[in-house]
Amino acid sequence: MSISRYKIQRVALAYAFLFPTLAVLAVFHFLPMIQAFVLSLYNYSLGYEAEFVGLKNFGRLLGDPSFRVALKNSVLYLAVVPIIIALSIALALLVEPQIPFVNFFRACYYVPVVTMMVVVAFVWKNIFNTDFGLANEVLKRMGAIQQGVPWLTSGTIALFTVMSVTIWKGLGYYMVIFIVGLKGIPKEMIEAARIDGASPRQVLLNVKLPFLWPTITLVAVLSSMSALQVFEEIYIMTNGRLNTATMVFMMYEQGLSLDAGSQEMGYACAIGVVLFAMLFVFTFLSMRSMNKFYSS
Amino acid sequence: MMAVAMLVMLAGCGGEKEQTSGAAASGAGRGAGGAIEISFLTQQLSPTFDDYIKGLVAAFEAAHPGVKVKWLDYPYDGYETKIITSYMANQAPDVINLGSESIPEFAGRGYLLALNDQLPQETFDLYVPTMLRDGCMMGDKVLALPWYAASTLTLYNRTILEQAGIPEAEWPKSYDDLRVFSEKIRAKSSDFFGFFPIYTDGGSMRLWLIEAGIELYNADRTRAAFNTPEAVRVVKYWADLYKDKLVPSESLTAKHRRPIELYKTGRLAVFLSGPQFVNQIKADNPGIYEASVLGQRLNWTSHPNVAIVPLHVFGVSAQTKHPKLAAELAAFLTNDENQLAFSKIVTIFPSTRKALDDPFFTEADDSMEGRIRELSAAQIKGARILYAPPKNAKKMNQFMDRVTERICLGEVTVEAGLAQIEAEWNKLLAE
Repeated sequence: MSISRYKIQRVALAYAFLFPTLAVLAVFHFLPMIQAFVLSLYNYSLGYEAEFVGLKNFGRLLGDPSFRVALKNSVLYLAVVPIIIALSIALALLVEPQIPFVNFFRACYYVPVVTMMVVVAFVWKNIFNTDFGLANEVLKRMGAIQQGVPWLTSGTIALFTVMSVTIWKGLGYYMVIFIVGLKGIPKEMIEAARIDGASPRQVLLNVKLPFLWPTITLVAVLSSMSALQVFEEIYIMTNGRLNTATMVFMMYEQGLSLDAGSQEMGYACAIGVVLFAMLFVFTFLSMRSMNKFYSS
Repeated sequence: MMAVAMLVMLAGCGGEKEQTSGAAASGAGRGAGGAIEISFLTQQLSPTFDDYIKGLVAAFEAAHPGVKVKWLDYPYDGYETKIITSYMANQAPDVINLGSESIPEFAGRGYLLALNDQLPQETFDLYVPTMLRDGCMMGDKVLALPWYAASTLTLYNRTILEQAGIPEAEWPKSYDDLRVFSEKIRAKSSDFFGFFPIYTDGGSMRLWLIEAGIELYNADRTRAAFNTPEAVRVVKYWADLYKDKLVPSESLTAKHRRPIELYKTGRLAVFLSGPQFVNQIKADNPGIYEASVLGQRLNWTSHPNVAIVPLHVFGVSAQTKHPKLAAELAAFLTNDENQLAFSKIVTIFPSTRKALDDPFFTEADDSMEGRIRELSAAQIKGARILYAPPKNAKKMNQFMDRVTERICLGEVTVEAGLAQIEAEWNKLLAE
């Protein structure tokens, strides 16, 4: 067999293995995406004729106070990112050394990750109950408060309460990523710094963190994308009430939660297109900053 | 492997349970041997009520030789969406179980057959008049037949009330009593609340207004008509209970199932409950069940007999090929005898006058179950059914809930809030 024929066969075989996955992605991912883009230009409810309205749905979004609140909340939710990064790095530094029983602690920190968010949200919702919840009961007995804190019944506090649950649940996942990142730091660099008299703090700031920068960027991108698409915690803990609705929640509300004749699928798709644009721009800028770091 | 996975996923997209022997959800047709086939759809009754429904099917087939009846049952989630897609595919069942609030929307889409010419007047006379008129008719067209209804009763936790030093004579018997009662309970202990109203679950304010004798719409239901001084008084009453922390903080955002959880754990003195929850309380916390005393539902002293009940109905599809037969099936499923039989196997209540006058309801014993039957039957005879407009009903309720929230949080006055709801409702009704 000639070399070129062999190469063609290998390439064909590779595509043959790739094709089924691509077909599934095309049918269940890319095609609905394209349909959503198209549907965002229509008014459509189930059982009625779709009416082409062009960019009117986007114009309506600009003037919709609910959308402004949802957009603000979605952007505010990005505040979980630096907190998750800092806490995950701290946890990773604690459990990275091979000390006795460290695997037990790693497993404990990872358990929230593998617990269903619905279950987590229900439990924390009860813990944060203003009148009967464990959080207020503990704080009252410690003498820290006289009256229950309205964790989930005050618009000002509720969103931050939900954010704390997102942080708690995600820590273990990003901790594992940082553990891998820490293990990838050349040991001789750390040893050289120590020989030169660097303190542990100096080793962390001047050796470990710079080497962790690609991992930090990766975690920032992943956690930001998750934060912008948060839904389950909001749905279970506040149901979007008290001005805690986010963009995905608003999509659900407009497109699915109304009765069949009032569902605004086109409007919901317009929200989805805006969210997609935000995620795309955000990811593009993050990847560019990472590439700049590598090239420098 | 991915191709197999794709096939498995496509196969999994099928969804609902169909209780018939392999037949698709289709309109009436002819089966093998020339038998006429008609189908009827119920909401989440299988497998619990298989014996009862299959008994009805056998009885109807016996009375109509040459007719084959197929029973379909869909789960609660996405129920109406499935029905609408079956209409779009021209495959709607002949007889369809709906909530009465869905009738205007389905009628607006042209999905339901008017039954006036399909059934004799004596059939319509069987039902409680308010249920037929408010739940099944639009104008003078009868678009469905009433089926089963639920009631709302009051449960008192005797243990909490005794601990709070409130004798039975001072237990709240009306909404007017609630404020003073709640203050007494809260003064006694912060571990309990007197009452848990629902503020924002599917347009809860509508119930407050109707219970106070305030009409939501004008005569032809084209405009909102509730923005009155009496409405301001009523809404202010409920909002002040929340602002003064006399009800749980979560009542502003809780769904209707939350109060039962608190009552079962002994945190609530008085609970307005559907009787179907009483069995849950008995199973989950027998101590609370034993301490519970049943009473008629609370109302305003000025309007003591207003009861709003949820109602299930049977409509006949406009796509049916056998309208008269389908109408007869709907009438059979909802007649006195069959509704009474259904009420004896589950805690729901019939919508026919004769069944409600049966000794099973009127000569009940003193047990909890007996009291439930007696009080509920009395309530249902004069009950009102909530009307929903043909379109945007849920949007109107959602907007009402948002404004209710803002009123209770003090972000907007009651007067301004009611004006906002009125304006938005009028806009949506005009669409």
